[in-house]
Amino acid sequence: MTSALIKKAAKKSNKDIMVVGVGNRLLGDEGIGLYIIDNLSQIPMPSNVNFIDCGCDLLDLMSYLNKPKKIIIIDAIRGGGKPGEIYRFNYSKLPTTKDETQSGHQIGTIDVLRLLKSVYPVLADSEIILIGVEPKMLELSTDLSQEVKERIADVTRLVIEEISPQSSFWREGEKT
Amino acid sequence: MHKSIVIDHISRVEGHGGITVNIKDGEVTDINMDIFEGPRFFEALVVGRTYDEVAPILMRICAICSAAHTAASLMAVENAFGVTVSPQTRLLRELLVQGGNIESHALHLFCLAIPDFLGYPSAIALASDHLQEVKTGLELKKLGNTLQEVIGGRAIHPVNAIAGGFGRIPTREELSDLKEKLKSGLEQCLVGIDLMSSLQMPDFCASPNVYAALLPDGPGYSLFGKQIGLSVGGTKKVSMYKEICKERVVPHSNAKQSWFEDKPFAVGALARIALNGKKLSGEAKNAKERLGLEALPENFLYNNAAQAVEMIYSMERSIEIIDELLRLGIKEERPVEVRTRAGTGTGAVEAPRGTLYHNYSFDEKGRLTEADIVTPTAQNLANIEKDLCISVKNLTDEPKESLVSKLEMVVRAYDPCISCAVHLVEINLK
Repeated sequence: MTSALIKKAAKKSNKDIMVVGVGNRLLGDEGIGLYIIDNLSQIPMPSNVNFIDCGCDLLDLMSYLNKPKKIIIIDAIRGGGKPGEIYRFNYSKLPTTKDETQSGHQIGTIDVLRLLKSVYPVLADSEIILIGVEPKMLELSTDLSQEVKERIADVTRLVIEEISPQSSFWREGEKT
Repeated sequence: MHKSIVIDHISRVEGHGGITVNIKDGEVTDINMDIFEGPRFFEALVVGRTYDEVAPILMRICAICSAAHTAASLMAVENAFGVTVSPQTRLLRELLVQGGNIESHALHLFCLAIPDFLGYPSAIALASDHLQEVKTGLELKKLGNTLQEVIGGRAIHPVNAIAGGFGRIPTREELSDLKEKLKSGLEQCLVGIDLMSSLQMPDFCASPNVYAALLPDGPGYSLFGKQIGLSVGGTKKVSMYKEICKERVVPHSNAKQSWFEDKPFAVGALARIALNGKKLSGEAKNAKERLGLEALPENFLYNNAAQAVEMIYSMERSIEIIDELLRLGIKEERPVEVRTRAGTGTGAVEAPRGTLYHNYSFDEKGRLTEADIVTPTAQNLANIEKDLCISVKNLTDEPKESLVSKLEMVVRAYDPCISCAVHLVEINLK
């Protein structure tokens, strides 16, 4: 009950920074974005920050769009690095993906962002940052691999730096 | 000539979510389907858990089908322990499932199927020429999410629905507000019907189909039922679902298939309308007639039309349920107490993609000892393969690129969950 009421209140308030976790908790490291949201939700944050657990459905983001200044998306990212490597990308600087539906059933993370930006003008000026961790294990499991688990604190710190940009020391596309 | 065609290529993870069709001299030699939905995999996640932990885990199998997984899971638990829920719980649970149906059909129709039929590579490309239609689809999906959020406590993965009832009961005001949104959504749905009725439905995959769906207990169309019906005749109790979904290993495919007797069969919106369509009423009935869903359809591409009809049905039925809840008066009732005992129970519901079964066994302390989950996609695999083989035969002279997109249309018509597995981002770093 509490969670529904908090979400309802959050939707109506002026929360212009959205921190969004994406993933599936049943698929090992695929759920990292949601674990980070769990972690962040325990830390006192400025009142304009909204934490959202989107599960596997990033399109659910559209239920919360309120002219956000910044959207920080946390997901598993396969970038070819070692398991546990952390990535940070600015959406506007990502290479354009092939203009095809990549799935029979759902739409991928970057395609969802492109679709939402093309349909909802409130997103025109939003800064969108994608933060992710290279997964090791993507099998049916309700736990993270050790390599990814060990990076939860680092990713949490990185997201906090995004929320307060003056403390940011990350460069575009930089890995740890 | 040899061809290897990768359909729905989503190779984010090796071994998951791709379909490869190998063709030699115009005939399919083998089809490799990598899917997530093996029942044994799911079982490993819940064996040893207590009954109240099972639904919150298994609802996460799929974000889009989480309401259906929740309902089937809770019904299996309740049936195992002999729990009978209140009429109010049954209505609220149905409302939750209808929300999932609206969300899923809206997403599939407007963002995946309509781009196919209009020749656009994606919903993003479609939005450049048909912005309003794409926006309508997304708004309808959002309405489905809102329904699930108000009833289930969250837009996806409904934490508020628990064994025996609901943690929190929605207020009259919330339900009245939902009703207004649904009335407006119903009008938007009619846009979808206009669009669907203007589309040409190619028939390259047409062949006789066996359909299976739950049969409604009452006089109206429903996503619930105690009996499973088959278009070739005959019914089975839900607890006998294994007699319909007989798994077999086939030499040319690496995924186990479900067959009924010696035939593949199909589940989903088209199967439901084929078996129960006569029970539709109101605008849904009109839409069914307008979209030519009168006879037993042989062309599974009509599943897209069936989803459009069901989207209207789910809106109308949701309004009916809310009216009934308001008429009866919302009661602040507590969930029925669950008294554990050793036992087995089955729960079945019509998920957006077709009949979904959850079957659990528990020990006397309420710990799960066995679980079997049969998803609609697992049941449809053999029929998808049949339709792909027929399509290849009917499209022998088709250039490869066009053949790929037509075979993708066939797979997409089934709205398969093959990609529920992994949604991570793939980026090639230079």
